[in-house]
Amino acid sequence: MAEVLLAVAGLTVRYGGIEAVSDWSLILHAGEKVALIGANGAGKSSTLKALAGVVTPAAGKVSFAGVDWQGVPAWKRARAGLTLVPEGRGIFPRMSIEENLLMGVPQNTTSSRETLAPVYERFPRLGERRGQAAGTLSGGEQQLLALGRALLTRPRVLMLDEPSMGLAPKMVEEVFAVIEEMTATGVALLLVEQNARRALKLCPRAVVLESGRTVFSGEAVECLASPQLRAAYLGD
Amino acid sequence: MATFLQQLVNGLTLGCIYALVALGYTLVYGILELINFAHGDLVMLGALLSLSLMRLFLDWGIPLPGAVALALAGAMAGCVGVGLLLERLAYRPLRQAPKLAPLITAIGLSMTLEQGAALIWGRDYLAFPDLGLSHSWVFGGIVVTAIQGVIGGGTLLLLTVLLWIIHRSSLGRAMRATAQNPVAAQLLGVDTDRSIALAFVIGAALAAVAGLMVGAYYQVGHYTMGFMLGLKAFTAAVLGGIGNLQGAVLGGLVLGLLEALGAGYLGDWTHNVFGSNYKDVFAFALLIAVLIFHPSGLLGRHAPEKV
Ligand SMILES: Nc1ncnc2c1ncn2[C@@H]1O[C@H](COP(=O)(O)OP(=O)(O)O)[C@@H](O)[C@H]1O
Ligand SMILES: [Mg+2]
Repeated sequence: MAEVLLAVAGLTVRYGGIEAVSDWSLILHAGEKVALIGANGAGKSSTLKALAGVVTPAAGKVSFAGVDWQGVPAWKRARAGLTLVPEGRGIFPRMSIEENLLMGVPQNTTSSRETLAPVYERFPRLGERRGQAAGTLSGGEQQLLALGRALLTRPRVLMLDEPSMGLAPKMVEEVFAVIEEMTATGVALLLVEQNARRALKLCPRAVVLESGRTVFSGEAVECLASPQLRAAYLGD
Repeated sequence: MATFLQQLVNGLTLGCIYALVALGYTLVYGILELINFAHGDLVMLGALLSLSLMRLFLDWGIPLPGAVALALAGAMAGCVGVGLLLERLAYRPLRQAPKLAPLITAIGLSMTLEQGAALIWGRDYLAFPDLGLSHSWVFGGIVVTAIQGVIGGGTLLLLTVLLWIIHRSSLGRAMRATAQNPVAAQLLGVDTDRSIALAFVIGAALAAVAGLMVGAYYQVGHYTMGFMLGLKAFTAAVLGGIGNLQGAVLGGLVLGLLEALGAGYLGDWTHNVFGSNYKDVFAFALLIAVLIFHPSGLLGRHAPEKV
């Protein structure tokens, strides 16, 4: 088995009186792809935010690459390769597309513009419009920009929160194709998706959340075979 | 016509100083949505620090240009230090607090700085050392003094450097990203606390330069001098659209011009009912008018929150 990259134990997130994530645990191996699915309000986003360090958990231990990350600020986690593309994409709307991409280039490497060439090659539309404000892009193009930018950060664990939300079917396909390419090189993936069927096609492993707790964890095919889960999350 | 052009020159000089101070308000507002009312007092601190340091260095026998340069460096270091302390000790702990808390803190800090300066420098008006910039040139009836030239040139230089930092350097890019979406910036490895501190550092450094300029221009220093200047620069920032850098510069220049023209013509227009001593009224009438009719300012994107 591959090395354990991310180990989460007893993660609990509270907002005032609301417990959004309860005593949640996960082991993620290098190169593994896990779909995290669940109804609205199940605690998926809270889980990812706690792992990325943008919300402070009430309890729990997060170890990433063998190091304990408790209390470490989000920006240090990001630099270490624990990368979250948040719900809503996190684009800087009044900065140009090029500047948005440069924000993904690690500070200590040469921030030369050649680093961006592969991204422009893969997404020619971003290249053509590199000087334009990112806020002028369509939702789908913004998502591609966010993914391209995340790739530049050299992620080791890529966490995506609802990357296909609000996109036209054709764009959804493109986004999933890009995610597949991004993770083909051994980057581990933690994918939150409302499009559960599509997510389970991409990820061999599934975790189902209900009210902040895991109610299923196993192979995607198993999940797809369960009449109960199909009825609850796949609309059958 | 000559009077008009003369007031134009005087107004632009004043406008440069307002612009440099207004940039400090707008930089911090742009990133934290905080109005740092203590910012005007950093200008006072810059003026009094450079006044004392210049006297000291001249006493040591350092030639004038060297003494000025060293005093400016010292004043900048002092203002940046105080600006960082304000951010770290007063504003950072209140970042999650309701908006009123940091605002009241800012007003308290302003008073603290003033009274602190009164303890160090006393309550008397202090004469600013002569920088030997009193010679002047006459262009077709308009007098331009050397100090006006230095203020104009210095402001241009600083604006160029500032725009380069903000728009071309990776530090500036990180700062703009922090202003637009702090969480997304953190997720890309930006230490947003450092970006915020940088806004205070740049603002304080500009305030120090403005302090030296205003001290040298009026040849006087006083512990309360930051109050009115700060309010006017804040007016300039709101006029240009608070949070917008170009707006702060434009607002500063427009306010300086309006004030100088008001001072020059108010008596004529009102048959000497109002004299030039009413020029300050201009600034605040303008502030109130902008807040009522066009709160987003000349170049602002959206209306600032009411405070
Ligand atoms: N900032 C917040 N403040 C208060 N409650 C929140 C906050 N964010 C999320 N919640 C609550 O936490 C629960 C889980 O939300 P979330 O993690 O966004 O779920 P999901 O992403 O699965 O839809 C929900 O009940 C939601 O209302
Ligand atoms: Mg969510």
